[in-house]
Amino acid sequence: MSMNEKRNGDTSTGEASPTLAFEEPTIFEHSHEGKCGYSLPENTFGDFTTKPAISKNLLRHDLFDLPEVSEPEIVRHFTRLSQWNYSVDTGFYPLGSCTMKYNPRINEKIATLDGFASLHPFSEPDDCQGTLEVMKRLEELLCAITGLDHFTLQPLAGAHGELTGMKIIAAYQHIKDPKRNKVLIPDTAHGTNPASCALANLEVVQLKTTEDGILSPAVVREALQNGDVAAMMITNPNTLGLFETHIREIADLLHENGALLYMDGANYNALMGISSAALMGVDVLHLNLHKTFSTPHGGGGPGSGPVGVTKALFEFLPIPYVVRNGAKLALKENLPLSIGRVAAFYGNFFCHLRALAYILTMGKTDTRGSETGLRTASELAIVNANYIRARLKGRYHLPFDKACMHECVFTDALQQKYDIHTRDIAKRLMDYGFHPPTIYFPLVVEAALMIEPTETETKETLDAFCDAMIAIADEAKSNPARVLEAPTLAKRKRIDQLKAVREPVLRWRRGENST
Amino acid sequence: MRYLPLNTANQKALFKTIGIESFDQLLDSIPPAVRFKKPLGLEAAYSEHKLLHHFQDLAEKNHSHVKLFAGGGSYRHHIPAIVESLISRGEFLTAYTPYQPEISQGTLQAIFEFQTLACQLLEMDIANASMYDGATAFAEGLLQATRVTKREMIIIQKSLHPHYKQVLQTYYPFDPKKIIEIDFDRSGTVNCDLLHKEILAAGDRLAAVGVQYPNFFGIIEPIDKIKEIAAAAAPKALFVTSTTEAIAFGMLKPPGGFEADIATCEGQSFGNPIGFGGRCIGLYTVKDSYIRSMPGRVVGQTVDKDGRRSYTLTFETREQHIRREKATSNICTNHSLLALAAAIHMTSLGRQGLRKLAEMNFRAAEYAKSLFREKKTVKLKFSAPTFNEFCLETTEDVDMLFKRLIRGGILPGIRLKKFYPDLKSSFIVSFTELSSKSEIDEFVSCFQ
Repeated sequence: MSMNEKRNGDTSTGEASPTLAFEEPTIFEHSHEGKCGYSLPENTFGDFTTKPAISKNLLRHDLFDLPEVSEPEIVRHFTRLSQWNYSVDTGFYPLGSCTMKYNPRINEKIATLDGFASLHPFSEPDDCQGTLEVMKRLEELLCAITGLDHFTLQPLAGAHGELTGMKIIAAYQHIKDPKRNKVLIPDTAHGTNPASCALANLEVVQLKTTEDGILSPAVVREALQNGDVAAMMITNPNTLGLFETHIREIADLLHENGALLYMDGANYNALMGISSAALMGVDVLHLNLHKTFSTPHGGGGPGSGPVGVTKALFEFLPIPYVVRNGAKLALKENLPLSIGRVAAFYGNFFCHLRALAYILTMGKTDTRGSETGLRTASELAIVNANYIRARLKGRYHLPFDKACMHECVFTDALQQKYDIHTRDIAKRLMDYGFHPPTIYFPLVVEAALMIEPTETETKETLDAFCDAMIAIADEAKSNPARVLEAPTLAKRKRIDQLKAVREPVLRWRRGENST
Repeated sequence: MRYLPLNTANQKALFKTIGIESFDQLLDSIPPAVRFKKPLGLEAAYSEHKLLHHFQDLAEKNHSHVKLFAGGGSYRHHIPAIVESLISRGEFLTAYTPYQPEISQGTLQAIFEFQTLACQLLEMDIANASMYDGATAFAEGLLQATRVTKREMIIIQKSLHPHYKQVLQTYYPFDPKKIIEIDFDRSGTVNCDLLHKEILAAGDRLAAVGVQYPNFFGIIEPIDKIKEIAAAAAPKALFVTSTTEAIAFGMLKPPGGFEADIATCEGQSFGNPIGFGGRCIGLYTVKDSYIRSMPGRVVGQTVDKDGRRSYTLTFETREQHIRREKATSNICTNHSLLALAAAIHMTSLGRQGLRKLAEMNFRAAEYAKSLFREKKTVKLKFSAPTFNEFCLETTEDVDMLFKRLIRGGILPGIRLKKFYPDLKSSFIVSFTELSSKSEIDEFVSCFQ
């Protein structure tokens, strides 16, 4: 035990150490004529041959460009590339608003079960009962967790969920009150929110948050005066990590006025079993299964962005949807007001599968003190964020000095006088072996460092991270050059982003990719 | 709970540093009215053992072990074992979007290679880091055409995959009447006279001609002729293509060969199981000049401070996190891991493998065709050439036929009556390198 403590103590203030790492050329540079990494299934057709009756103009003569590489080379190549990545499995990844929690391995095993993997999307519903049960059960559990009445699992990512939700709102208002085409969005919103509104043909009106970092009902009341607001789109907890205390009052104002409330549920990891979208008065919500419900981020997807709605909006959901008829499950399309389809098939089913496995593993939420449960996960996510907030307070500027939810936001205000900025702090963190927080977001805070630890980290890790942050704050004073030089222990030193735009090289081409 | 590492002592220590005695003190900002009063109504936690058995049971409730002759945008192919093994590496699986390039070179280089492979497959200049699926990729492609041309009208085929058409209708922000559908002729290809007429009628309001090939019926559209008509009648409209079966380009001349402006493709056939359509991935490629209006993330090559070759996300000023409501799309998360699977499979196939694989798919379908030609109760619906799927018309009641074959463990394809009332007795059958001669023989022997 004491040795462990000592070891932890040692690493907590030390830098990461470089490991054996190979420079790896692109797969195209491994290519040599005549190699192949694939074994074709046996030809069972004997000497059956056929001359394509296809016009010569439509045939391809050579696949000249494609690489020619053997299997061992491919495995080594991609294994080496993997070693050039930072990941949750290898280290602490406190990327704010991304909820980089542990991705359970049993869920990966479940996601490869052949009975799910080899089911064709055009199979008869009677032959899909297992898969439909997974989807329906997940929908029902998401309803229980959020208090909403219906869910669609079709959206393929969080932003895709936003688009689906805003399309639902647009379709609803088109019938109720077609002049309503504006969406109120607080200045703390994710960038996807305004972009999703634009794609749904809705106009964005930005609302200012008050000095305490949340939205005031007065601002909303004023914005509603013209009767042209279709909905408000709010993230709760917001991107400052603060709970929107007045949300219920704001929901009531919107509803009295004829507008709806959309909630971006990207930060739902703070809320499970504690509060719910329904209690807040939310009409439409999207969740990110790849955040709150532990499905892996995969280097940027696949995600999954189920959308939940109240009863009143059911008819607008995408088709098809799953219904339970006694013991049987079926797919239905009989929704004349539906916004239509948002994806070729039924959503990212393997994310549904993993999320359901996660919820079943976490199990019921007892009142506090229970050892299992989604609520405990949310509680610990909040505790961890507040711990980091408490430990770094005073060393970094804390623009909103009060208890936070699952993430906390600092700035570089105390380091600026040494000419050390948020980006430098982030890069120096790499040298201490950590993934940086989300930086320069939310935009309402100048040069933000947004830290989301999640509930799956140990106290030792949180301490090591805080020690590193404090060491960097000290270095900013004592040795700013060291910080500016960072990262020096990462696989690459600072990368020239400007060159990437000025001299775009977006693919490999023979003889053109030397540096 | 095994995923939660904080023990009671840890929690006490954390509380002390935070300066609280109970957790509730952290919830002051949540008014009592919006707090849960009672526990969520969930079941007791499953053990790992119980969980695995539960899902094994559910998986077995699916009747997925059928002899499969359905395609329609989701194709069963052999996936090399290395694909799952490599994409399961935690370093790929549990990383996020590579915002910090210095510690994300693995994902970045893999995406850069994926972009290159997508360009090579489709013979295009630039690819993005992937879209959600073939349907959303095609819809976004047509939307990009409306942005580039500042026009709204688009022309598509009636033989476009019906789900793709529905997704396009959902995404399309203008008057739905501005989507013009061109009927197919008796051979199954797009009616070129009608196409010509509609292009002329649309005139300078036309943003794009969007063509899927092979089309939903499996037919290899005369893409050369279609492009010629479009180029002559509407030189400023963009030529946008979609493909549901990427393997086809081992044999067919790709869209770049016909000067497509934007070429999209469903990439599931590479490296991803059919899984109820749950592992799709959209390929999105454009000509050089359309980079700035392209949706989605893109990785570029650059150097680090020491001049070493490096990769980074680039052209981000197009994107939602910077441009907000003026962004080229709202897409943020894409399908990175599935793109990696596709890249690994494409690399395994390589120059020779992909060609041979495409030929095997084609041969299996042609073999089936040769047998179906001998049958009385079923005939080929269209005469134009196909790749690995084609359309049959039966004299039987199609529902009865499906019932009969499904009972015998065969999924005979996709019925068309739901999508095309005129084709109520027709269905599409699909063949891949996994359709063996004996399976096909058995399938065809179910017909008289």
